[in-house]
Amino acid sequence: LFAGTEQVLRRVDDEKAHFDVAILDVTRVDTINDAARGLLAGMRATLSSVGKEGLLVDPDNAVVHAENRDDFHAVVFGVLGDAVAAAKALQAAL
Amino acid sequence: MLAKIQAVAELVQRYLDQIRDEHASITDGALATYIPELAGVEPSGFGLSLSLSDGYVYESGDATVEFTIQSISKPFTYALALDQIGQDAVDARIGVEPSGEAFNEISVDAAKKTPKNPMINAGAIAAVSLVPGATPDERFARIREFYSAFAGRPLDIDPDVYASEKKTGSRNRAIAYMLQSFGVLEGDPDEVLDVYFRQCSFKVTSTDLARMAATLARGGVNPMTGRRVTDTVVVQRMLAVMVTCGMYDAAGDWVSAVGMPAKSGVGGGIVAVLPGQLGIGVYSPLLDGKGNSVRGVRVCRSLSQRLGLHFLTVTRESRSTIRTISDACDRVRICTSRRPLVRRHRTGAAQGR
Repeated sequence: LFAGTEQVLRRVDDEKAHFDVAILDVTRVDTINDAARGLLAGMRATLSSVGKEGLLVDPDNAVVHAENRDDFHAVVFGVLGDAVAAAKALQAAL
Repeated sequence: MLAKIQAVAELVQRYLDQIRDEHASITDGALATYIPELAGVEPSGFGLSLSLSDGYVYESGDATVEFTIQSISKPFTYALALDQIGQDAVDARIGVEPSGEAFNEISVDAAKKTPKNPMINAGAIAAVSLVPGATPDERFARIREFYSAFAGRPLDIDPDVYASEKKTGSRNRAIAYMLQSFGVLEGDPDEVLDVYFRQCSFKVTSTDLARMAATLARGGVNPMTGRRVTDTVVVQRMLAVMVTCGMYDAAGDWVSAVGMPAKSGVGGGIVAVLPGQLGIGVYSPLLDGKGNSVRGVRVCRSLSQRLGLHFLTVTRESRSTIRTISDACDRVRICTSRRPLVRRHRTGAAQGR
């Protein structure tokens, strides 16, 4: 929800000097709404604009709806291991 | 064209600025006119502050402009009375039922002869009389200390507003003497009223209100100072009364459209609380016919809709607590539950930190 997402955003800001790729794992998130989805989408766009990448582990399509999943196949993953592998590949390419 | 966003949390700031800007051109409503100090404030003032439960505050517009707290004081003095003398003693003098009447109605419960709730003037004046103190100054000092602890900074009164309130307060004098005649009011009505007029004259900003609300959202702990101001039982009662009676006789509209415990004041402020999550403070002095800030109400509606803040939103149905049930082997069953938790992992450079 809004308050939880806001905390994620602020945490990412605090630490963004220390990573190239951030992986957000929402596997255990219970509840989400459109406000949170919008902010998380904005977070990824902002990270991209400063030369960083944001990946998502979202096996239950909580953030990205199933019907849109194909559009995001490069950044949304079902399990953390796949996201970490993709992150390492991205980092090598940076 | 908006500047490029460098920090992710600017997204939130931009969201709030956008919501505030959408209502900035609204000039409906009128300043309170019953005292010259309120009639003379700058009508275009418009501030929005939002405090998260860890004390981080976002501000938009005139968030540092001071205005008088007015009726937003009512739930806080009620809470102080509950905190100091306990629920039973307070309940014996002040009810918790919405009145459906204007805030300054000269009325009490027909059977019990006590004020119907602490958010109408009669209940608020009774609440002042329940705050312990040997003298009016002592009582006021206690109130000031309590409010300041909620805000996280020492609050002061506007002496001109106080003097005017005192001079023009005939209606409140009528209410106080009526309460005394029914045996509801402890002490000298004029002394109680003097404290009441002073408490209504506290100067606050929208950020003060957001911090006070965040303290309520945290169950009585000020997130900025870490200090426990009051206990969770008091906060629960306070929020309950704010839900049912906080927005004058527009409480039904408010709960339907916004869905947060709140209190407004004729100074133009609104304080709103989303328990466990955040506190909101808004300031815009142009009032609607019921005495609520026109732009304040509109901004709160937008915040609630756009950020999904309505406290009666049912979101948990689709993803139940027990996630899966499986059998590991004969008569050994695994139940996997979910918790509302966000984990984040870093790779690459972060690992070498």
